[in-house]
Amino acid sequence: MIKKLKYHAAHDLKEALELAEQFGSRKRFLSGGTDVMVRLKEGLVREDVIVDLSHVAELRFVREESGVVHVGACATHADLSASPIVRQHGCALALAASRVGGTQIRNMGTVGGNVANASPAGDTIPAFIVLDAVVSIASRTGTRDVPIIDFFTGPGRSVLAAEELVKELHFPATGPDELTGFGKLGARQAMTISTANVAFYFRIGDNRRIVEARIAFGSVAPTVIRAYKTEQMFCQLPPLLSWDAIRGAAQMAWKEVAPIDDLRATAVYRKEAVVGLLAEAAYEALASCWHER
Amino acid sequence: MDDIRFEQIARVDAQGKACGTTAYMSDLSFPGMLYAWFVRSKYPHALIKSVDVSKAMVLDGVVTVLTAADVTGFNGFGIVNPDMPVICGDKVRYMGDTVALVAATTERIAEQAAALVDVDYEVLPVVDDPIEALKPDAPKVHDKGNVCLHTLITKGDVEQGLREADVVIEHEYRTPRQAHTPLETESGVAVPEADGSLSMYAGSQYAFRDQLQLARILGMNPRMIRVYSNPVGGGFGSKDELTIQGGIALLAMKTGKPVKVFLSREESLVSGWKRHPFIIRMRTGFKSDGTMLANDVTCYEDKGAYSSLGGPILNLALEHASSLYRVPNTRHEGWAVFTNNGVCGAMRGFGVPQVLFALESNMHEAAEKLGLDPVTIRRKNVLHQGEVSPIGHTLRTGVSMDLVLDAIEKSNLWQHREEYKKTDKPWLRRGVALALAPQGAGLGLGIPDYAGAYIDLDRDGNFTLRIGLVEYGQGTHTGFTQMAAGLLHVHPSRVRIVAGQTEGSVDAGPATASRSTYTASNAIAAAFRDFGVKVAGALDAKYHTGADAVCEAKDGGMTTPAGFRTYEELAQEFSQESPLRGEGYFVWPTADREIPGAAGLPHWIYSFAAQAALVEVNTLTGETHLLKVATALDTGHTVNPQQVEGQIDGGVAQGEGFALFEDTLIAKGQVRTKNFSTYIIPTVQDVPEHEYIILENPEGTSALGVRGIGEVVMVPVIPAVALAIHDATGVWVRHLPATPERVYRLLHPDVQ
Ligand SMILES: Cc1cc2nc3c(=O)[nH]c(=O)nc-3n(C[C@H](O)[C@H](O)[C@H](O)COP(=O)(O)OP(=O)(O)OC[C@H]3O[C@@H](n4cnc5c(N)ncnc54)[C@H](O)[C@@H]3O)c2cc1C
Repeated sequence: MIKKLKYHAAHDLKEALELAEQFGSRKRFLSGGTDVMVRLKEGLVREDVIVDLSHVAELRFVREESGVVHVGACATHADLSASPIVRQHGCALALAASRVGGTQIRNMGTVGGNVANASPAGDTIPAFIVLDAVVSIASRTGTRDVPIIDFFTGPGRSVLAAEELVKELHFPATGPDELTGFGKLGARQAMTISTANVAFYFRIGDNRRIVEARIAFGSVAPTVIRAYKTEQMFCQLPPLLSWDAIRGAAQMAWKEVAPIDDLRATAVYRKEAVVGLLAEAAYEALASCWHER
Repeated sequence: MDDIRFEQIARVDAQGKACGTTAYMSDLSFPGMLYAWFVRSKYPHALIKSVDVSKAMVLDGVVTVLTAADVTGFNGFGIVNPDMPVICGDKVRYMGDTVALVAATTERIAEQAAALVDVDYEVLPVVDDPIEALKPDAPKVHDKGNVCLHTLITKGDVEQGLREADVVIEHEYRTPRQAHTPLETESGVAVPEADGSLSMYAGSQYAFRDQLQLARILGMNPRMIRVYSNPVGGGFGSKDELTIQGGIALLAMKTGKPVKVFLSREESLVSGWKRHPFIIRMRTGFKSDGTMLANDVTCYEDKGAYSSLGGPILNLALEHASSLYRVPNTRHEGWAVFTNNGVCGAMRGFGVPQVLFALESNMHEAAEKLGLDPVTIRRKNVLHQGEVSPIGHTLRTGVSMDLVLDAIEKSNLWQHREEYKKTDKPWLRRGVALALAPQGAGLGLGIPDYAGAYIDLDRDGNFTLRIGLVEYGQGTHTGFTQMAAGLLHVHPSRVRIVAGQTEGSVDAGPATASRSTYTASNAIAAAFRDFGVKVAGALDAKYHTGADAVCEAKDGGMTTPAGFRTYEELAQEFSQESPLRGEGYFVWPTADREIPGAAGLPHWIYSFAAQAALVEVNTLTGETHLLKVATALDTGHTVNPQQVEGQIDGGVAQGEGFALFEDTLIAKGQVRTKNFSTYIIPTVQDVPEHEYIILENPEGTSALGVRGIGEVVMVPVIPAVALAIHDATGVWVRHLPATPERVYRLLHPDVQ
């Protein structure tokens, strides 16, 4: 049973911020509602005021400006996966968005909701992390930028204060020498919460060597995490496509994750599977990238 | 046999369903209608010491709250043994048990009131494993103990057979607690009428049996209860037994108001019927040339808390535990055991998918050990019409085991399997395997299996076909229409169906057990023959043309001794006061001998299918994708090709779910998979490509040559998927579903 709530629709960012300040911790934002509505039904929403952001048109955009890609909080997963800008300059994010839920969820669910929700299983989060994204947080008194890696404080928790909202995320547009990708392990092909997910970023130097790597895993720790040691291993890879070498490098991930048992899988399995997930996604990406050159 | 050529026609119910105009029972509402809430148990196993409804009663908007003491008739239901209380009075046995019923002016108030019902429980230890439950010191779910049914069927000397075997394959298999997950959950409206009677509007698989069960619960003359159960928003067996009807009937009779309920998915998954999980221990002996010598099978069926159809399901499983292979020595033993693990009942396949997963796996392993290919070993052992089954009865009707086996061998998938298995990714492996299944159709020996049908010539010269069998998605009403239209020589648009209601349609038995199409073919054909007799009789009465003159259907009318008459003309003459009616009845023939100690066995007629599956296994994660399935199926005589393909598509998806995804997880009596984010069914992205091979070996005992196919299409695909995983990777999957983690652990046995 859904409890009785007060509902306010914000029509622009200014109004949203005013409502945020007025109701503070009594309010819950609603964007696509794909998380909030489920929680409301389960009786898990403490707040008694809903502030609807879905009509705030100025928060729904994807654009590139002087080498930086900006994604508005109300951009949907469908927007991201279809955007030529994101596909070209933040491929991991386009791939991640295309694997969220099913068509209906991607049409409703937003990137702001995915990030603010702070689920360790949120699919766009590892992608934003390897893209070195920054979260722009707005309140009535101004905006502040927080690197996404510092945004999350625990499962379902972030640095967002009651009167703040996520305005946008932005990240440096990737260039032709940068390769990013995403992999997801779930119970089935669509409509599945990640048992584990992974995103990676590789900058390819001369002689096909990886000179810079960022790797992030989801659903294997209280928050999405970076795998720094594994990144180092990828930078040691020989400049030829070797399945064994890639798999060997990915093996390090085993040491960097701290999963738990839940209904979807055991911790032991998750630790094993993320290695494969990374190896497979990285191999595919490197193979197609080297094939093209 | 009448030789009718059926044309592909669109489903008669397509437009309404596609446009959303079809009113399901759950769509109905009535003036003054109240909403019911079922107050469910707090514990999986407990004694009820007291129930206090006083706080709930006084909540504004609450009209009544009922407890066990308010049940006016017999407080129990169950098709075989009515051991499930409508409202529990002294004990609860699973989390879905009802301890009180609320009726209120809104659903919200009803739910709030439910929370105010105060039940004092004495918690009992939970028994959640069928093998543990058989131990003498196990907590007892029912006073009489935990054995719902024990069956032992033997033939020959199984130990001797196993001793003589060159190879014996012995394993334990486990199968999932699959949920039916129809789109429409348990729902309906009970409407008390001014004359003291009751109308029940609730989608279900057998209105006439619901009527009797409701009469017993209410303590009322069944004639005072009308049941409308058609159309149904999906069932797959979950609406064969009563679900919510007893509760809303009591509330309606008590309040004098219509009472509605529509369960949430969560409540449905906790309280609703499921497929019985089986633990199967099977020892199968073969000679070195692949000939089967013996099969020793023990099945433990996790019954859950109440009987429903658990006994017949166990017995059908035992009937099929050696398939229709030539096995001289068998010992099939089964235990249906009560536990606190929810409730299990009828589901598509009815015990057969469970045992054939085990048998086909043992068969495959034997072939591998003996260096035989999977087709050869099966061909060596399949039975033919006239031979004796593994449980000892003679197979009198058509047996198409070899027909479907030959066809699957010739399928594109099987012929080109080496091509299909190629993959260029080092971590992916592909495999192809096949399996074969018979599926007993109809209710089996000792259970009267009967159907009636009326063909009415209406005033305007069109027809109404009255038959009990409901439409719950199978497309049977389209088939029935085609049959009646084909026999009458009219366009199908001129036949309308009234079904699934105790008023206006005729009892034709339950829409279960792959029996609808076969049963209907004979009942409709009988009604058609009778219609000809009635036409002759009517003409004779008026024109003295001779009472036993033969009338034959032709081009929208009949040739009669009084010349050709269109149906419009006949209607004009004879259907103005009341319709000219043909009545047809059909009673199923039964098998030649009873199987001692096994009620309902054996079956008279079987369906047959063989399926091959192509899977791709990710060795890094254990993920398995079902890429392609070929199905060879004997329809006898296809009535509607699209509906056959539809049954295959749906059956394969449900079989795939069983094999790869679906399981209701229950820990200490608590359901952990309460919605579709944890209870995983295949999505459209997961279902495979299909290759359909439709064979027509007419079934001689059907007036139109048809066989039922609804269940068998989901059976062989299950072992085929498990064995294809073996073909791909070398591991044997003996515990389904083959989730990524299970497959991964089989691939990496060293992982703790
Ligand atoms: C069937 C189904 C499948 C799903 N599958 C996936 C999946 O595969 N992968 C995945 O990652 N997720 C999945 N989800 C979860 C969900 O769809 C996503 O997290 C989605 O991105 C949430 O976005 P939303 O706009 O719907 O958020 P909402 O539900 O509107 O909000 C989510 C949370 O974020 C807050 N919020 C929203 N916008 C802002 C903002 N701009 N600033 C501050 N706070 C804000 C809300 O207050 C709320 O707490 C699934 C959900 C469902 C129901």
